[in-house]
Amino acid sequence: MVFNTGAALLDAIVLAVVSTEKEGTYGYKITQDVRQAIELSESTLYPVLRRLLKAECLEVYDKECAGRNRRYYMITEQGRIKLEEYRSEWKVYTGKVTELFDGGHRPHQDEIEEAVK
Amino acid sequence: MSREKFIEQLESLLSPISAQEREEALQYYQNYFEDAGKEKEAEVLEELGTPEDVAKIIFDEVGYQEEAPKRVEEKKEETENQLHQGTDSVQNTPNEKPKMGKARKIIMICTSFIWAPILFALWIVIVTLIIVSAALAFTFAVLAVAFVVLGLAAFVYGFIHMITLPAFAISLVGAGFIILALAILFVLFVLLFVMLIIPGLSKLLVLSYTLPFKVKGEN
Repeated sequence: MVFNTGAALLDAIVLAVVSTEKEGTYGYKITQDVRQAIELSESTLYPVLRRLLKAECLEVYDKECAGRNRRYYMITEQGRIKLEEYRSEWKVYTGKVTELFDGGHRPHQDEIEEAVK
Repeated sequence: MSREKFIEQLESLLSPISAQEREEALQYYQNYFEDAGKEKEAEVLEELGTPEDVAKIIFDEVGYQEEAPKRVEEKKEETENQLHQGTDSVQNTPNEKPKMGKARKIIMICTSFIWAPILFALWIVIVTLIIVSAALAFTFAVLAVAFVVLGLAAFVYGFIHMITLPAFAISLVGAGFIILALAILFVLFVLLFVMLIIPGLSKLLVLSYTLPFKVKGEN
């Protein structure tokens, strides 16, 4: 992809991925899911998860699975609120960018021109 | 590199961060390998990069490495600045100094035909004044010694003739007092020259040497 994914967008994507799993999900699976949307190096996810844990947007629990402990990540209530914030921000942001890309119907400019006439 | 080796190296690389942070990170990567499965191990290892790369990403997030090397660099800069200030008496901001120095040198050399003769004359005047001061100090010192001897002689001579020639003796003792007073005055003159005027002129001489390279820097 030619566009960079900043820290905030990465946080939002990971939150969105984790929020779809009611029982929680684990690092490897999150990486695979995120990769369906954006390129993600395998070493990038850990810092993101850690950051979201510190911000209490995620919580963890360990579950035994095939004789070993697997760490599961779940979204918290705070995480859901944050995700909603990201969603609405994203709508505004992509809306504006799309408008610019599409050649720009700019009502403000038209109004100014009419007033001048 | 095997997965075990990777985890092992990562563990030792992560030793600067807290034990809890280290455990969390190691558990994550341990889990990651397990979930990826044995068949994907090589693929995961290749994509993760070296343990150093992974450790660096963790350091960046934990905020460990951001600080330590910076502090070292700052200290280095500080000592360098101190060195500059020690060797260069021009008080300038450390960053401007080398640039200013070069520009100033060029200007000074180009205008040297104006200021060099003036400065040379100034040096000669100062040197002359120092020599004159030294000569005066020497003269006053000799005079002081002579007057002390003369004053004491008059004193002693006066006392000896106190009974035979009282009027003459008393005036001699009086003269001796005056001469000793003058001797003390001369000693004060000598001290004035040696301790104030000559060092002052010497300082001025040294200053006039560095003057062309100093004045512009201070403005």
